[in-house]
Amino acid sequence: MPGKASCPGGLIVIGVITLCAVRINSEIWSNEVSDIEYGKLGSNVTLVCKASLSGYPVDWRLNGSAVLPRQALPSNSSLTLIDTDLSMEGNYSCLDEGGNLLWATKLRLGHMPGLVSVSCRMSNHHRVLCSWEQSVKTHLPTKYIASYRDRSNAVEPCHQDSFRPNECSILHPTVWHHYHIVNVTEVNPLGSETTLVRVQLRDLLKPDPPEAVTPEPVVGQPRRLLVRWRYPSSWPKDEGFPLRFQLRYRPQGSINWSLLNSTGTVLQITDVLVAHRHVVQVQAMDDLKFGQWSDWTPEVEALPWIEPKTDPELSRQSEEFTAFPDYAELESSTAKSPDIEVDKYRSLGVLISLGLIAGIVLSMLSALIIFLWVRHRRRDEVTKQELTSMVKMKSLPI
Amino acid sequence: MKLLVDTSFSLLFSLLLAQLPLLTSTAPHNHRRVYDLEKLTNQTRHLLKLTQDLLVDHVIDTEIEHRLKSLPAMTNRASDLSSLKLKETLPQLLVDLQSFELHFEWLSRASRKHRHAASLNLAKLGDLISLIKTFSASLQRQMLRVDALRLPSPTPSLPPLPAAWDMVQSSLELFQRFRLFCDWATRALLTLKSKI
Repeated sequence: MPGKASCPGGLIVIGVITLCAVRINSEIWSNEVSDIEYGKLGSNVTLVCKASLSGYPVDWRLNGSAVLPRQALPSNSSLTLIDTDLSMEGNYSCLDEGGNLLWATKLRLGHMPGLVSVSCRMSNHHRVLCSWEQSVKTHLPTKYIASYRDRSNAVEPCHQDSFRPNECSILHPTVWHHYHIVNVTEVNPLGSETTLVRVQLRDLLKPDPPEAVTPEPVVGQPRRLLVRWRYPSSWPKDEGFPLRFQLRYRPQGSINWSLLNSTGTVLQITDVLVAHRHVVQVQAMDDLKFGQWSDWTPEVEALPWIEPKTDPELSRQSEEFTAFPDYAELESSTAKSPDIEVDKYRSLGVLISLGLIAGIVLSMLSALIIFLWVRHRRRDEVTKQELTSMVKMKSLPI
Repeated sequence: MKLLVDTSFSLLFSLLLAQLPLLTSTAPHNHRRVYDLEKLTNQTRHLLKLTQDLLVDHVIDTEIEHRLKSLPAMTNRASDLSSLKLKETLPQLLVDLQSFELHFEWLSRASRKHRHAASLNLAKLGDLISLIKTFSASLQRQMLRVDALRLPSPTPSLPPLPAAWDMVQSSLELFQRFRLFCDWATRALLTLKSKI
């Protein structure tokens, strides 16, 4: 990973706290001895019999045995182990001249933390997952502290899960920042080491492959295949994150792929070989070219529609073709596709809405017509009454 | 009884009259707004494409340090898109765009000074600046239509015209950052369009 750098002074305080935590945990693990001592592999380690009177010689035991490692040098109340290796680990105890236990410790040997190898991946704009591996196997209890910062220099935690100690998640990152610095500090009883990695989210984003790729024959079209698929479920459904797709296909047995581009999730291949099974794969990429192409989906096979033959022998062969088990599976999976079900419901919803709107408009128009008609009639009646009264007036003798 | 019938008819008529403007005017109004946002989205897509081309052509393709402190800070997160409001987003986009425009003009002056370095496609840079101006005008028109309040114009403190190598590095950073701005702007406009 480029841009890797060491910064040991970065998190000293946290490191010390963690160191204490590790030590406390270690004591709990040990039920045979009162203490745990940590030493550096390949160096000289001196154990001091803490409860002895200074100057008085003591007897040392390793795992209860008086046989000490060849490179162990007892001196008064201390024991020096020269050029330590892993075989020197164990429970050390010191006894007084009367054989009474003065002090006991468990010695664990290992290395100082080193730089870790960090890699991050991002399958959508909402989350970055970083993981790391030790470059040096330390043999010691280790804890990692992960954080990140963007250009604004605000340090934010990279969320860690106790079940996955070598991973952390950056939730809702500032995606449109130029770059981010991920900081992983490895801490063990011998020290700490910080690894800084610069990541550009724009290069990191790689969608998961599309899902439910379903090629199906088009009835009456022996040279066509209709292919449907779905957005990867990890990809946001918002309008602001459109995907583009590439579909590739080839006749079974051929090595040459044909490529089609699409921004939708349905595509019709119009030039397949008649009566040949074809292999289809789809990959996805952010439509604004933020990031890289996903992996290809697993290969899916399909057979285009075959014109029914009248010849009994040929029709039997055709039946054999259509009786391919995976083809039948393909048909059934298409029938059960939730997308199609959703489409059906969506169409039904649109129809109902249109019907309701049409109903409202019609009822309003009817009301308007009735209203105008009634007014017109009333006016007629008024006119008739006026005329009648005028006639009556005229017929009255003056 | 006659009074009751009269009142009912008057009420019905009023209701109908009240509904008619809704039925007749809302749809074209929204339609117009969708069209305007679609036009703006196409402009940002075009700008994004041109910037991507300029980056492909760029003489260096490496990690660069953060040099141009005066560029707009893009602190947005993907989850912010869902809460965007048209009247607030358009002015912010305009201010950021104007800041980039000033930086590109600064870069253009520097490129002309170091023409011999031939590190930039000056014609494409000119196209980009011209497109930015067009997009800026479209944004301002749209802001007027939706009665959005204008934010104060940016006044970035641009560094003095850089030396040739500094210019190469600054141009790379500028293009990379503007690509991110265009990406954000396109997604913001797509989201706003979907909300209408």
